[in-house]
Amino acid sequence: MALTASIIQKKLAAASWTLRDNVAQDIINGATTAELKNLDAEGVLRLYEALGLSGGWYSSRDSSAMKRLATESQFQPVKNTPDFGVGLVKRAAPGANIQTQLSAGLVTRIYAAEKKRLSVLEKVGFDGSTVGRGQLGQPAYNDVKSPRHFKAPLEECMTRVILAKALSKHARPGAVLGFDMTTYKLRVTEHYSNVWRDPVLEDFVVAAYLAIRIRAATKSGRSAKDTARFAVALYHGMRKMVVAAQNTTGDTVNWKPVEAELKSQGHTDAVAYVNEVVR
Amino acid sequence: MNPRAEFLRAIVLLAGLAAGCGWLSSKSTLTVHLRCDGTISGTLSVAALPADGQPVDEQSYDLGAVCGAGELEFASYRSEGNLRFALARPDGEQVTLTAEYGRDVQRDQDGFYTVLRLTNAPPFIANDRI
Repeated sequence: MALTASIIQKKLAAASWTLRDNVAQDIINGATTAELKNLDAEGVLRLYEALGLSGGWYSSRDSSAMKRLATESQFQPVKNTPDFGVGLVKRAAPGANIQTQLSAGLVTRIYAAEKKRLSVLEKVGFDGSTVGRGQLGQPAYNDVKSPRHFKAPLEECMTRVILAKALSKHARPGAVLGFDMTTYKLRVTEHYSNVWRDPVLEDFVVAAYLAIRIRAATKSGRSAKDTARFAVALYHGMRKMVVAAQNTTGDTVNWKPVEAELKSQGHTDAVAYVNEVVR
Repeated sequence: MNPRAEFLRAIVLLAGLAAGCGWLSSKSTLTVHLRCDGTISGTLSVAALPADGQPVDEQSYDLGAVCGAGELEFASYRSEGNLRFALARPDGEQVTLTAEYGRDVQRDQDGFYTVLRLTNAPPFIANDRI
């Protein structure tokens, strides 16, 4: 029978509190590589908790079992970021413009363009309403974590990042921040201030917010590249100037006339931002 | 009582009054960007559309005025909610339109917004995008 969270729960519950770490060791050491790899977050968390929080002390055998759990579970540290977050977003959003325009390059170019434009205060750490390399704020995060947008892939991303961090310590574990240790379920934080400092999570949120902006900029007759340009312009907070330029030109589909109008109004840096990001 | 304590008491009292009167409610201002095709006459009503489907907090605007401004501000928007627009034309025709949050109604750092296209020919009113 395959190893599942339910089996782990039953085996641990059958042992006294002080012997649960021994049971967890036995489960981990007796499992195949495939069984550990297929174990879900709840199963991993139950073993993690039993190894660290039960018994009298954190023994070398606990530590050794923890190392195996860390090495062979599916919750490995993310090394290919921002591709990881971009991949999760694209898997959840099948729209053609998101598939063709959203990329790791788009995310990193956003960071570069934002970095160039940080104020003196922002450069020394005094943030305004937007923070991080992507200069996003709470409103953007609210949309990303909404069930109508990217709640499920955000949970997947957070689970991977938080569990990988917890397991990688190998030292006696404590409660895992971000998880409810009574239900072993992830609690998605309400606040972007708890998210953006982790580069993998920030990459995901920036990619997801770009996808929301691309989706909102998609309209009949507009090319994929222009969709990305409008999306990035709105990402950068250019909504009012873009709407004004569209009203003046009478063209609500194409970017070129809007760009020319923005330049004529003196918004050259805003136009440069879009062209630096969308290539 | 010293002036500082009196000032703090006044602040607490005002906060209590504000909460009691619903001033600290979840309503937000939403910008409706208008794209009017030529001269449009009539009245545009905007209402919040809660999950039960009954429009609330309806506000009406003269189209001649708001089309000229290119936008209107709807102050009774319920965060992440839907909207119902009702267009009353001078010829007596009435048209309604729903704007759904996440599809037609969007949010950015400056707040909530949506885009409407108004014409003198059917469908007279439609959701649009920037």
